[in-house]
Amino acid sequence: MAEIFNRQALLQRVDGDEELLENLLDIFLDHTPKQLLDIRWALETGDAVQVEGQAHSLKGAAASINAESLMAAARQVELAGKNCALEGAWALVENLDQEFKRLKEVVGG
Amino acid sequence: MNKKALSEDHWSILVVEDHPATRRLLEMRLRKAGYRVISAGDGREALEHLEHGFCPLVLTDWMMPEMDGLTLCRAIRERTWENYIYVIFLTARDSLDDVVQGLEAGADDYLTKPVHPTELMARLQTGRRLLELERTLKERNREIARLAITDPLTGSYNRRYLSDHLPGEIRRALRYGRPLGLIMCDLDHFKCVNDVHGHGVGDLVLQQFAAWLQSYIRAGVDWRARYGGEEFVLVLPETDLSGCHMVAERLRRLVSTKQW
Repeated sequence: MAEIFNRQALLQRVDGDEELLENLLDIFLDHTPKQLLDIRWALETGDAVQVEGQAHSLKGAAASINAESLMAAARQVELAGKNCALEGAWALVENLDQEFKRLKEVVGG
Repeated sequence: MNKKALSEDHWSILVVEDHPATRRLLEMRLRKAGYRVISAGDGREALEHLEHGFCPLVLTDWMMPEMDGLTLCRAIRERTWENYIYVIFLTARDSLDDVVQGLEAGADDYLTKPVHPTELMARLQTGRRLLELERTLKERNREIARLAITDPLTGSYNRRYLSDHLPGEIRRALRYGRPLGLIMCDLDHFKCVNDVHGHGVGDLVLQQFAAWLQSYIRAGVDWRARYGGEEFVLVLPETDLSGCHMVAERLRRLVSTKQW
């Protein structure tokens, strides 16, 4: 079962810099809602390339901040976009939204 | 994390990454390692940065809006820059095809995410080594070019430079109807100096003479070239015959009256 957020691991990643850690989380929590909207919009308009691209970006960033389960959810959406399997993607995007909510709770954002 | 110190002249690096959090993380890591970091959110922005201020190192993601990393890489290679730009891909795209495509597009290295910071730093160091090599080669080329047109003893231009540049000066003067002065100088009895006092002294005499010539002509306008053993040519643009005569006479008097 993927972890929602591994603060220790992230702290290690930034060499113990608490300020940077908070900064990164702020940026991430700030940027993601828009990205989620972009993904929904791309799905609405059937733009598989955008779905893949945005989900790929979110996946990468989630990995950078050690938000494993969000990363996994984003990977699912990315694959759907890559394979142009957009019909089934709505459920995946719902899941993505859920994971982000969970992350926000854990981080305290 | 490997914190190998960078040399005094700080290395600039352009980070191209669309996600702000990932970008921030990279920026911080690189700044900590001593790099001067510029960042861009997509390929187009990256090119703009490069056009406004040269950057020898580029670390780029692949998938980005506006212009992706692959297109950026190709665009970089298509243009000519003042120096080489070392490009490293840092991307989650990790298939063999991706790697090959990236390298064929002109990337110097290809790293897949997640990359260990130590590895990233080590690979950047490899890039710096290559760029240092380029710097050294260019320096040597400049030196060689300088040597090719300079007389080593006196620092004047040499005969090769004279034959390369005098025709142009003449053409220019003819085209615009301007006077061009030429003074051919030759040291009398120079052979005796070498025979009696040796070539070491002879060399000193020539160096002194050449230095006087340099001080008597207008810097940045006139120039001197060593034509033969003790023969020098002075090229004086915008100088007519009487002007030349004045300069020549002054020189002649100086040489004949100086105590050697």
